[in-house]
Amino acid sequence: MSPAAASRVQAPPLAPRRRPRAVPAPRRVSGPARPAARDQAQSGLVVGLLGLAGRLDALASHRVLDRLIRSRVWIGIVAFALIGIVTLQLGLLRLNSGIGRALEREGALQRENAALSVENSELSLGSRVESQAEQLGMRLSSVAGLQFLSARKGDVSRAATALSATPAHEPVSEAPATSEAAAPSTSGESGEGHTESSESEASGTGGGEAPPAASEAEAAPKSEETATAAPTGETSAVPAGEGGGAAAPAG
Amino acid sequence: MLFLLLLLAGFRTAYLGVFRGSALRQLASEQQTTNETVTAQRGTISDRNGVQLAVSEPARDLAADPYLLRDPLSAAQRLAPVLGMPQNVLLRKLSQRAGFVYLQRAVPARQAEAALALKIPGVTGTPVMKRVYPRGTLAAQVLGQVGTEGQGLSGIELDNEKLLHGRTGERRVVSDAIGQPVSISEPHAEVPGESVQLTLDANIQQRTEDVLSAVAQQFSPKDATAIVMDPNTGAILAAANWPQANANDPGASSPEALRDRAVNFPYEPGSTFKVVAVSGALQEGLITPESGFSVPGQIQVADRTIHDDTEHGVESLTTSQILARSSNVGAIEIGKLEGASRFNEWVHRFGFGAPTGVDLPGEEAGVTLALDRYSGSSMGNLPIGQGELVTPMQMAAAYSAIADGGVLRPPHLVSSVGGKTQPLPRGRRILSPKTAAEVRQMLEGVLGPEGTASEVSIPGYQLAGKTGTASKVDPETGEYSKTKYVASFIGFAPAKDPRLLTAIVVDEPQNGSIFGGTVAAPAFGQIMSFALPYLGIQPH
Repeated sequence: MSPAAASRVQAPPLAPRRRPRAVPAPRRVSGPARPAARDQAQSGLVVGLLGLAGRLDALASHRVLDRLIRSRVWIGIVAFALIGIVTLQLGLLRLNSGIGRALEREGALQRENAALSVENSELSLGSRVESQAEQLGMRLSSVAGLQFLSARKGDVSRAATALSATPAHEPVSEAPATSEAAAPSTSGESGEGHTESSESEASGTGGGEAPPAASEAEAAPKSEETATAAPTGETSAVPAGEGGGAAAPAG
Repeated sequence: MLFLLLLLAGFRTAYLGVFRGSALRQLASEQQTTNETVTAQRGTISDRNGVQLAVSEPARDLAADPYLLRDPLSAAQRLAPVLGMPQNVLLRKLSQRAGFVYLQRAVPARQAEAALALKIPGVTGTPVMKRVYPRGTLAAQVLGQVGTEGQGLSGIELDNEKLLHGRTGERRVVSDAIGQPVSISEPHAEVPGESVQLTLDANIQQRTEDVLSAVAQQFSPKDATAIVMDPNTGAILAAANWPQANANDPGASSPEALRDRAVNFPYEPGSTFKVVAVSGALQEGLITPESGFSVPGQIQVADRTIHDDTEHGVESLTTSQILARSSNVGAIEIGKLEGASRFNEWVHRFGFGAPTGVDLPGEEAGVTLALDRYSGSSMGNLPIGQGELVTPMQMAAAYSAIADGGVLRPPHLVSSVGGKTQPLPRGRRILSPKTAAEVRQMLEGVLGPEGTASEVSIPGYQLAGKTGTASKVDPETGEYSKTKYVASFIGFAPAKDPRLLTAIVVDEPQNGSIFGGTVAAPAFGQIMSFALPYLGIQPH
């Protein structure tokens, strides 16, 4: 035997190779025959698992890994991993602390939201809006003074123009007497939707106490009666006459 | 020596780890881990325009363990200004010989945090939700109340308890040495309650309550109620009660003030009930609006003599005039024409004797006489609204059937839940559209020159309705009182195509006037003159 041949014979293999185990055929069991598809799937799973185990085993005893573990590089890797774990833990703590703060903030926002909801509801109180509107020079129109006019093509743009032309703070009473000019054209053009503008001074409540705002409105000059003010006090600063008869006291 | 020290350390370690291990682990866990109850936010209640009527805000129940307090006086002195409570009240609580005492419940979160920041030993705060009603008295009886444990007790709060309440959650917090949370987990997440949107309109509700207050000021009644509804859908736009109650402080109101009379006030309806007999007879084809009746000033039915309100001789009145003038004798004649059996059938067809199905808890069914219990004089009082008990809600529903072309719909208050629109309750036809239109036309006469509510009008709008003035039974004598009445008015507008219906019931009005036409009808006018243009309803 040549020395080369002897060394081939004597030298132990670096990684002992193991033969993959033969997959045993599933044994026939008693009872009704199971579907073949399930059998195949199960045997495929077993084969896959065994293959994976074999591969892991081969990796654990791999030459490169073995050399790595025996060298000093391993110390560095372990140190790096430890630092990573600590950093991860710190990050986790920071995250939890952030969640805590977020929960506190959620509570604060919830409180703020509830407080704002309450405030919003209080601010939208009809009587408050009415008094604010009165301060701006608007007044509640009486039922007798209301006119319902049908909207026509082009009314929206005319209303928008009138709205932008009229300063928001300008009281309705100071607007020029546009109703006289607008009313005839409205009735002339459409001839519908123009209901009676009652001359009656009575509020129609039959002796009962009329709301104070309504009685004030009754004292308003006739020329202002076309200005439709929502009875909630959500009054419009735009004279209805300028809007081409599109205004209606919507709720 | 070193060995000895090591041995000692070993023993100590073994003692701490083995013998005390379990107890120490528990102590550490208690120090670091806290289980918090996360109270679910109760759903909001808003009106049809989204105006919040009931809101929940975070709060705390503040409690103390007096055994842990070393100086109750000092604690009371420090807590009193923060909680806004008298010092002596606090001191009394903190000096009790008990392990637990509530200092104040549902303290607003900010205030509670300020109290807890004082770090008084034994003072703790449990998170809860406080129910706030931003509009105070507005629709207080309809909205109802919430108990100290956050559960609905009455009204919408009770009827929608399951939806509004939500589900309480649990949170586990692990804190570090300085109290910073290092781990937070929620074994059970809290589920906030659903928001409920009502059909009520806060502005119409406000105006209706204002009108009722004015009626109360003028006529000093025992109580009063008003319902405003859309007859075409059964949606209730306002349900007001007088006396008012503050929803934020229900304890300050009497139990009577907290009662929702719209569904809890059974009363004898009087003349407003005449419409049942007339509608039935019209539908049966027994009469027409123009049918003539010879109406004397009084009529004898069995052992009873029934008069009209005003003395008169024999008059010739049409059906329309009988309704307009509210003739008792005329209505009894129509009832007799109909017969007890058919009249009784119509009473039930209009929904009397059973709850309307409105989404409010504890609705009364009223009382109707069973046909087999009719006496000889029953047809002398039932057609004129005596001898049966109805609720204002039942009357409003019955009139809305006439207004809606003959379809009786269950009134409803909830418009949507959690943003999802609720399906409209299904109605059932009880009158033909022709009959309903005829009755509507006849009811216009009530507000006409000959009618019992002739003083009520709204410029531009054609109104229709019926007055009612019913004697109350005196519980002492068991007979009809001559001083106690229920004045009511139920009407709608525009008469030809009704869009809005209002029912007013005033219990025991005084100060000289007792009639539906003078007490309730003007209130109807005031509410309608606001609501009709407000809703953009055009006159016809």
